[in-house]
This record gives sequence, C-alpha cells and structure tokens, in this order.
Amino acid sequence: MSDLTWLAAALFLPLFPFSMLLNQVMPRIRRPWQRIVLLLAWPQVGIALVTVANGTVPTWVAAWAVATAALYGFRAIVVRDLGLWIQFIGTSTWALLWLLAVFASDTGLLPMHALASSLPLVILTLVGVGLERRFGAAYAGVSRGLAQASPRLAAVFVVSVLVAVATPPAPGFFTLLAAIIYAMPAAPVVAGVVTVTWLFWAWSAARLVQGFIVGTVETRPQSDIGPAQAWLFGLFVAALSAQGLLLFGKMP
Amino acid sequence: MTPTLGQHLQIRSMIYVAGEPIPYFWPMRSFIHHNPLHGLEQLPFVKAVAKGTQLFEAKGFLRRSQYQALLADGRIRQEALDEEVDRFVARYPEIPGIDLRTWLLRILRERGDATFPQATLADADDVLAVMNGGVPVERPIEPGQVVDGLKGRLTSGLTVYETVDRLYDTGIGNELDERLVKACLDFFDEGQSVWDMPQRQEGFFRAWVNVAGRDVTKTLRLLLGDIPHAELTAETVIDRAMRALEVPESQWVEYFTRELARLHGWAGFIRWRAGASHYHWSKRHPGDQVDFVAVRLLLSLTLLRKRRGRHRPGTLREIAETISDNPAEIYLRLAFHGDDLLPALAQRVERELARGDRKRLLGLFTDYVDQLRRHEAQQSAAFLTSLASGPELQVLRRLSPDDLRQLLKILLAFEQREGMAWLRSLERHAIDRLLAGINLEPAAPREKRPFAQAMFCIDTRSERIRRHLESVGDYQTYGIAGFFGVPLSFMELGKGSENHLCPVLLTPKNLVLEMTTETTQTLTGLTALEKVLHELKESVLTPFVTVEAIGLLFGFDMIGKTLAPAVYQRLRKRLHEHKPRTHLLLDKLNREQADSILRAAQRAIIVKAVEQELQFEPERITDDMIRGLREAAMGHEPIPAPLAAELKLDDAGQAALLERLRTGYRINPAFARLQMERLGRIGFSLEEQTRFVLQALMSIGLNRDFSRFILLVGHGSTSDNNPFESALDCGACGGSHGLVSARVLAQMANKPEIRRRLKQKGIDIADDAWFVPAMHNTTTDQIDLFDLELLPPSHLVYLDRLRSGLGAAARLCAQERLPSLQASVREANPTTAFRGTQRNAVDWSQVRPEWGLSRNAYFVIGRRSLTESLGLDGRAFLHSYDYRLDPRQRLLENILTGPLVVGQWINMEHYFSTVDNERFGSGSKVYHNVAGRFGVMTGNVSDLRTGLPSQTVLKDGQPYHEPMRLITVIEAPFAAAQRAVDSVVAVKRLVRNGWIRLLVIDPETATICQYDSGQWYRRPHGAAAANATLEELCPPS
Repeated sequence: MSDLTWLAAALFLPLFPFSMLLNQVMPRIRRPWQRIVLLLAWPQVGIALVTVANGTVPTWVAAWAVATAALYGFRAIVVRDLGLWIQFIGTSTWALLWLLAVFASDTGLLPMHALASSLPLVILTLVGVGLERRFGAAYAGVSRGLAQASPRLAAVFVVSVLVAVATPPAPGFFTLLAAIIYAMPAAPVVAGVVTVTWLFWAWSAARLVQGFIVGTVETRPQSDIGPAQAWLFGLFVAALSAQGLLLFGKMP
Repeated sequence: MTPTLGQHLQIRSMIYVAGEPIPYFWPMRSFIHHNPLHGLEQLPFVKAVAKGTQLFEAKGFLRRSQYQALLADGRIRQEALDEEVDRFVARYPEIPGIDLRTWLLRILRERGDATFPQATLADADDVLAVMNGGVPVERPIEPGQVVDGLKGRLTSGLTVYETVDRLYDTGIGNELDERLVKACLDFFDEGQSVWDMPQRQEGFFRAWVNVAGRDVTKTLRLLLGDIPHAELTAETVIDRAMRALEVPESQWVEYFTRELARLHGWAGFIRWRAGASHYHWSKRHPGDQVDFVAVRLLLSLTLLRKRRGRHRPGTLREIAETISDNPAEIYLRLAFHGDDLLPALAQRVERELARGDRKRLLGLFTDYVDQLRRHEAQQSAAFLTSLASGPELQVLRRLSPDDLRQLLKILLAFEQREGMAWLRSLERHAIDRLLAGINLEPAAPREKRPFAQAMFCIDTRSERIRRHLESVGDYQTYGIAGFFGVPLSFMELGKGSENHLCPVLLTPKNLVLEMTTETTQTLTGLTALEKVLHELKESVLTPFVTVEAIGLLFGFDMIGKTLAPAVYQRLRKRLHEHKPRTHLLLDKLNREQADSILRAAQRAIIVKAVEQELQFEPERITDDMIRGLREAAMGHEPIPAPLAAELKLDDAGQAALLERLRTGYRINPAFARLQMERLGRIGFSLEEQTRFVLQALMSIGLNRDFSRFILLVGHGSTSDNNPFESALDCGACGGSHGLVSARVLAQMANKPEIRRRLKQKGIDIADDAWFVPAMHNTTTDQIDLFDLELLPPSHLVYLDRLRSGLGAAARLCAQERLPSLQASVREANPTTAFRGTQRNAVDWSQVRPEWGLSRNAYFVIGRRSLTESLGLDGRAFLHSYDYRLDPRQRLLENILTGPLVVGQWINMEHYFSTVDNERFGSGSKVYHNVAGRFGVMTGNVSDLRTGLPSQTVLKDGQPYHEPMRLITVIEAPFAAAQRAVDSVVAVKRLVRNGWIRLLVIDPETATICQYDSGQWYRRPHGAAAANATLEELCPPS
C-alpha cells in the first residue's frame, strides 16, 4: 500500500506534526453538531485507512504515537477552554490507538475502541453547549461555581470528564489497559510513557473540573438541566461502561 | 546610608498610624468581643462600613435574598421599607413617566441577589440604542483613553505585588501570606510547639532573619549590602524596601495599612500584644507591627525578584510606565486575571497574551472594548426592561438620553444605599416591638421584702433566667456588669500568673489572692496519667513507639465521651482531684503584715537553699541559722562566726553561699523591695471596699428593703473541645467567669465594718441580709451557690427553698432555650430539656453548646418595671438603674462609659460576623486549628480567625443572629440623659455617628424620644408604636 495511505492515516489517527491539521480545523467549526460528527468520524477514518493499508505497522510508530499522546496530554494540563481540552484529549487518545494497531494480534475491535474514546468527548461537547448558553463561554474560571449554580449539569460534566480520561470502568480505561499490556513485552518504555500520559490526563481533568465546579455562585440565576436529562445521561454512561466491560473486558 | 534616628521614628509613627483601622485581637483564652471596625468609629456608620469593607474586602450588609427572607418572616415590615424608599426617592428629581418608587420596591422585593450591572464603557446612549432594538453607535476607544483609569486602579490602593498578581497571576500574595503566617506561628508560639524558634528574645524581625531562607538573605544583601549586620533594624529594612519599590513617601501610610489589612488577624494580635505591657509572652519575646511590616516587605521584595520576568514590572514606577507604554495589553491582562472577563473572548485573550504580539493585542483590544460596550449595554437594557411592565416599557424606550442617564445614576446610588435601607427597616421593627411591650407605669410599692434578691450580669442570657426566676417565686432581680464594678487582678490557687477580671478598657490596681487552708494533695493517679499522656502526645517519637501500647486507652476515652458524654464525664470527675475549699485574700496588708509575709517566704526559701547547697537535713536548720543567713544576704551584717563554724564554711565558702542566696534564690534588697510593692497591691482598703459596695448598690437602685438573701450571680459557661469557650464566658470579667468577682463583692458586703460605713452613707443593710456568691452556668442554666460555709445558721432553713427556686428557674429556662439548639426537640418538659443542656456542656462533638449572645439587640438602662412583663427572648442587656438616686448622672455616666461600650462591641462583633462570616467572622469551627494557644486558623496555614464562628451566628447557612445596631434605651429625664450622653465622649460619638440607636424614656413626662439622623423624634409606645412614623420632634415644645 502506498505511503500516501500511511500519511493519511497519520493525519486521522493523529501523529505530531500531522495532528496540527485536526487542531486547526476543530476551532473553526462553530456548530456543535458538526463538531460531534468530526469527533465521531475522524478516528474512524484513520482506522479505516490503517485497515485498508493492510500492512504491518512498524514498531517505531508506537514510539511516535506515545510521544504525540504525551505531548497533547501534557499540553491539556493548562487548558481552560473546554473545546480546546476536548481537542487535545481526543488527539492524545486517538494517537494511542496506534499501539493497538502495532501490537495487538486482532485489530477487529479497533473501531469500537475509537468509538468508545469519541463518545465521552461528544457528551462533553453537548455540556459545553449548555455552559456557553448559561455563561457565555465554556471556559474554566468564567463558568465557575457550577456545583452550586447547576448541580445536575455539574454532575454530568464531572462524570463526562472522568469518562473521557479513562477512569474505570469507562471503556477508555480498557483501551488504555490493552495498549499497556500489549506494549509491555515488546516495548516496556512505551508502556511506561502511556501510564505517564494517563497521569497527564488525570491532572488536566482535575484542573479543569476545579475551574468549573468550585467557586461562588454567580448572582445571575442559572437554569439546570432537567432530572430526565440527567437520568438519561446516567443510563448512557452505564451503557457505555457495560459496553466496555463486555467488549474489552477480556484481556489476552 | 543608615537611616537616621529621626527617620526611624518617622517610620514607626507611620506604621502605628497605619495600624489604627486594624482591630485588636486578644488571645482566645480570654476572648474579647470587639468591633472589627473600631478603628473607624470616628466616621459615621455608613462611611465606616464602606471604608472597612473596602479595606478588608468584605461585605457590610446581608445579601438581598437574606433580607427578603426576614421580610417574609415578618421581622421586617413592608411599611418601614416603603418609608426608606420614599426618603431616598425624595432626594432626586422626578423622571417623567417613571414610577421610581415602584421600581425600587420591585428590586427590593422581587430581585433576589441580582445587582444592577456596573458599566465601565457603555453609556446611556448605548443602552437606549439596545433597548430600541438597535446596536450601540460605533465609537472606537483608543488605548490611550484607558491609561488614567488603569493607573487609578493599579497604582493606588494596592501593593506592588498585588498589582503584579492581578496582571500576571503570579500568586506572590498567597505565597507571601503563607510564609509570613508560618513565621508568625513559629515566633509567637506560646508553648504549643515542642521545638522553639531560636533566639526569640531578640525580637520578631531579627529572630526571623536569622532563620530565613537563602532567597531572603540574598535580598537583604542586595538591599542592605552597605550596612553592617549589627545595625540591621526593621526600620532600616522598611525604609530601603519602600524606596526599592519606588513608592512615594506620601503613599507609605496607605501602603502599610494595606499590608497590615491583608492578614488583619495576625496584625491585630501583634498590635495588641505590643501594647500589653503586663503580657508575659510579650516581655519574653518582643515583636510589634513594625517587625511585621518589615518581614512582609522583605518577603514581597524577595518574591518579586524571583518572579521577575521579561517585561514584567517590579516597582510602582515600572508599573506606571508599563501602563503608559502598553495600555492595551495591561487592559486585557487585568480583564483576563480579574473577575469580569468577557466570556466569548476568553480563549482569544489567553492566546494573544501568551503570544505577546503587540499588533495583535491592539487589534484584540479594539474588538474587546467594542464587544464589552455592547455586552454592558445589553445587560443594563435587560435589567431595565425587566423592571418595567406594560406601558412602562414604551416610556422607558422613549426616554431622553439625559433622563436615562439620571435613571441609571439613581439605580446605582440606590444599590449603594440599599443595605442601610434594609438595616433601618429591621431596626425599626425591633424598636416597635420593644416599645409596644414596654411598661411606663412605675412598680407598685411592695408590702414586704422579697424572699431573695439576685444581681445578675447584664449579659443577654441573664434575661431569660431572670424572667423565669421571677415567675417561680417572690424574687427580685437586678442587672449589673458582670464584674460587679470591682476591677481586680486575680491570682488563682496554684497559678503563678495574674488574670484581669474586669473589662479590657480598665487596668486593675488591686490584686486578690486565692488561698486554702487544706494541705496540697499529691497528684491523683488519673491526673498524673493525663499529664504523662499529654507530654507523650507532644513528642515526635511517640507515634512510632506508643500507638500500639496506649492507643487503646485513647480509644476508651473516645468511645466514652462520644456515646455517653454525660455519664462518662460524671465518672471521670470522680477520679479527678477536687479543688480544695479556698479563701480570698482581699484585705489590704499593712506594712508589718507584708513584711511578715516576706520574711516567711524568705525563710522557706533559705531552708530549701541550705538543704540543697549544704546538704543539711531540715531538722538541723535552726531559726538562728535562718535569721543569720537572711540578714547577711540582705547586707545588714556579715555571717556571725558561730554560724559560719556551724555551717563549716571558710571565708570563700561564706562569700559563695551569700552570692548564691542573692542571685540564685533572690534573697536581696532589690527583690525584697519589688516583692513588698507586689504585696502592697494585694487587697482593698476599707475605704475602697465601702466605695465599691456603695457604687454597686446605688448603680442598680438597691438602697433599701434588703432581702434575707442577696445573690451575686456571676456567669460562665461549660463546653468541651471548644477553643471559643472563653467567648461564652463573661466579657466584663476579661473573658473569664464571674464567680470570683461575685465572691469578692459578697465578702466585702458581708463585713460588719463595711456595713457600718454604708449606714453612715445612708444605706442601711438589714442585719439578717446576707450576700451569697453564685454562678450561673449559661450552657446548662444551672445556678450554684458558693461560700455557703460562711452563711449564718439562721439562713440554713431557707436554703432549700432558695435552691428549689433556682432549680425550677433553670429547668424552665432550659425548656425555653433547647428547641432553638436542637431542631428535633419541639417540646420538651423542663427536666428533659435540662438534661439536654447538660449533655451539650460535656459533648465534645457539640459545635454549638449554646447560642451565647447571638440575637442580641437591646441595651436597656432603667428599672426592672420597664421590661418585667415583656419577654425579650434573651436579646437584651438589662442594666438596672434608678434615676432618682442619681441626681448628677454620675452613675449613668459610669454605665455608659463601661457596660454600654462593651455591649456595643459585642453587638458589632455579632453584626459583622453575621453579614460576612468568612471575612469578619471565623468561618466554620469544623476547619479550625488552634494556633500557638492563642488563636485559631482555618486549615493549617491561614490568617488568625477573628470574629465569631459560623455556628454562633448562622443556622443552616442563614443568619440566626439578626444583624442590627444596638438599640439602647435609657430611662431618665430627657435633659439628664442628654447631659450624661454628651459628657461621655466615646458614647456621644457612637450616638452621633449612628453606631448605636438611642431612645430615652422620660418617666416624669411618660414620653419616649428617639435619636435619628441628628434629631430627636417623639415615639409613642404601646399599641400605637407599630405604625408610628418619625415626624414630631422631641422634646415637644
């Protein structure tokens, strides 16, 4: 298969510096539904290209992938804008899918892994819409005091962030675990960098949550999401977790 | 060059002046309620609150929603609020078509906490355009136009590092505070730490410099390299630091105030400590606010130096230059790191600031101010249109720009005055309630004397117990300051230090000693064990070796006091040694007696010295030996030869022994003189005792018809695990309990010689009248009688009835109080309620053993008949006073000078702790940690928490205490009351500046006058009080 296919795959399962394209395109897309489509479709295109390429992915790609993942994970630590955070965590997560392509014996579940990593980001995008409507922007420090102002929205936000950074039993956790387990025998350093990247995700998640949830209530009254919406979200997360356990729970 | 002495003194005086607005903070062992804005009492209340809230970054009034809750609850009347709005509206010209009164009332009643948006860029034209569906006219704002505004915000009223933090989010202020708090904890520690800071005797600044980190040392070297270390003083550092920061000298005082206000708890404690000449720790480890400021400035310079980045200013001049050179960037930085960033542009601002490209920043600035102006116009328009309804909307849209400008100005002005409107309405209701129930009829003459008379402290908690005591039998009660008018210094049995039992405004001259005739007992086993365990807890090694060994002991204790605190405490009490019966030495010693005591003390010391130095057995030490050594040590004569031979000492040995006696054991003329002076302080002369008893009785109007029992009831509280325990004790007794003062006055008043002298002055106390000291425990309401062994035998038969009455009153009082403490208890019988309050007193998990002085509202100076039939819910300070016995108002002046001022402090402390518990109060007790044994902090490093904890003034997050100014009522002829107030400067200032609300009830004419806004107005009482307005002047012509 041609080098062009691999190049294209590096764009869509983003490897630095090709990841810059995704991070230039995303901010320019204003409408939420377009962003959602992008979040769902982008890594799927990358996986499809890897599948079509039908060749063995060289091991050195794994090093490149974890370096990209670590870079964007680290960069996400100081991000305050929710949209930007979603971008960087998405880039970081999708880069790690290369490890499964390199080391896993069966790559049939790759699309499901990609979907499992995209869905929390989709929910966060919707949360961001809610925050923009209430506060004018989904920006940590501006949209603060959420726990007091809109507790249900705050709960949805926190859970979504935790799911996005692969907190068990979120499906992303199993993706990460698989990447570490597969990489460990062949490239233990790579496995180590994956855990460090995970640490960066958790750190950035804590800072982000702190910037939104904690703080005094704004004097303007804020509306909260309805109980039905909150329950629906809860069911969705439960389903996502169940999917993760069922599909990815079997370790090699 | 080293600053001159004159410059040193100038800096010291600047800092002392700068510290004036910072309130004192007394050690919590003797908690003193104080007005946190005491330093601003020279200003009218409104202005002081505005200034104080700006200085301490706090709120001066409740939130609107909280006032609305009080309105809904009926504690504010709508009519009073209407009146306040009418008064405000009357000051402004009408705006055609706008019903301002209705609009303002709509804001007050319906708006929640939403405030009118403050516009910085949008003007009336912009708002008008938006209201009419358009957009503000294009009006580009040049960066140069914002320079003056930025300089005003950033170069005055803030310290240099605060400005740098606001522009660059450097966090210098927080780190500086943390390091300074740690330094204060180390230096000012009073025995809590096991490891001391070294060289504390050199003073705070020098001791800290000796152990400061390398970064500070480097700053010192850069700042003061030319000055020898020996000449390093706090003043020198301050002088150099302020010049290094390039702050003009004209701004130094303001700068110092800002520095002190940042940690006003610590600053207040250090201020108090520096002035407390009698304070033991202050003498040992001196430190004042000059040291404090020096440490702060040195730390700020150090951190500014470390955080110095490219293009980042580090001095005031550089800040001003940066503003002039890059106003666009500074404007955006201030918005980004502040609280008012435009959300839609937040990410873009962050990105461009990180880039630092000047051209792009300029472009962003233009976009930002344009969008901000629109945003502000939209917010203002939305607020205005939400106030208007129906046809008013059309009128609003058609207003001229000038009228709209006026309207906006009025709304902003109203918001600033809104707090006072609510406050006055709340006070109005409280005044109306008081006047509706007050009784102007004098008490009917009694046929016989009451069974007992009781003098209680004026504390608000006494109101309830007095009311119940009067209801259960023939009791007559009086109110008097808790120290009973006898300022004294007290040395408790077994303690070596003195305690001042009087208001902090006074310095006592007389010392009272507590002594016992019983032999001192050895420690009981339990007490010894407790001492060992306490010492083990302070050891660093304990956790590693003793947890497994003795952890279980602590477990028993924890389980016992958690699951069954009352029972467990009773058991523990039985195991502790009891304090022996004591006597108070309060008669003045004559010279012979003092000399005799001194000799006896020296004798005991010489016996010990001979035992230890010469290994003599006590049986071999004779009186002649002791006398001879004493005279030799005092320099009167050499050691007699036979004595020297008996002691087996040669010349050198004699000299050494004498030197040891003089220096080590302090048997020398100088120390003897000092001790004689101290002994001279002991006790009161007969004239003093007579004067105090006379004054106490006359001040409350008790000069005849004395009962068989006259109880002097001091008060105190009991609680466990409560650093604020002293706050619940008697403020008039310096934060201690009032039992000692009660015992002292009782002992004086029971002396035949004193009674004889009182009779000569016109007060004939019946022979069978006996003054009995008692203690009212305000946590349980129990009243215990003391010194009963001195009671005449004839009174013993009545003791049972007395105890019965006191017990009944206590139980009824507990029944009234308990539901407010425990929501689950709606109705309890008196006995169950009493048990409940006793449990509160010993429960270590109880964060609210009692409400203390919460909900205090009134200070009534007058006869009991005024308030006897009015239940005041424990909200009134009641000071008995009979104007007929005070023709020259001297007694009234004393009451105003002392008790009223203390009452005002208590009231203001509660007020500000309620309106802003985080800044003026102490926050939640749950997060408190004791600091140095004199205060509490929140968490492990914070400012000292002054003020009251949330559990004292809030309930379920809402105000329990109703924050209002003290409503003071004086029962006296109007002219006499006016004269008395005018002659006490402090009180006159409080009244004129609106810190207290004053009413005078003239019993001769049955008129009530209220002072308000510089005028006296007539007030009706009874049923007519509720709807009365302030119109008629007083006194009526």
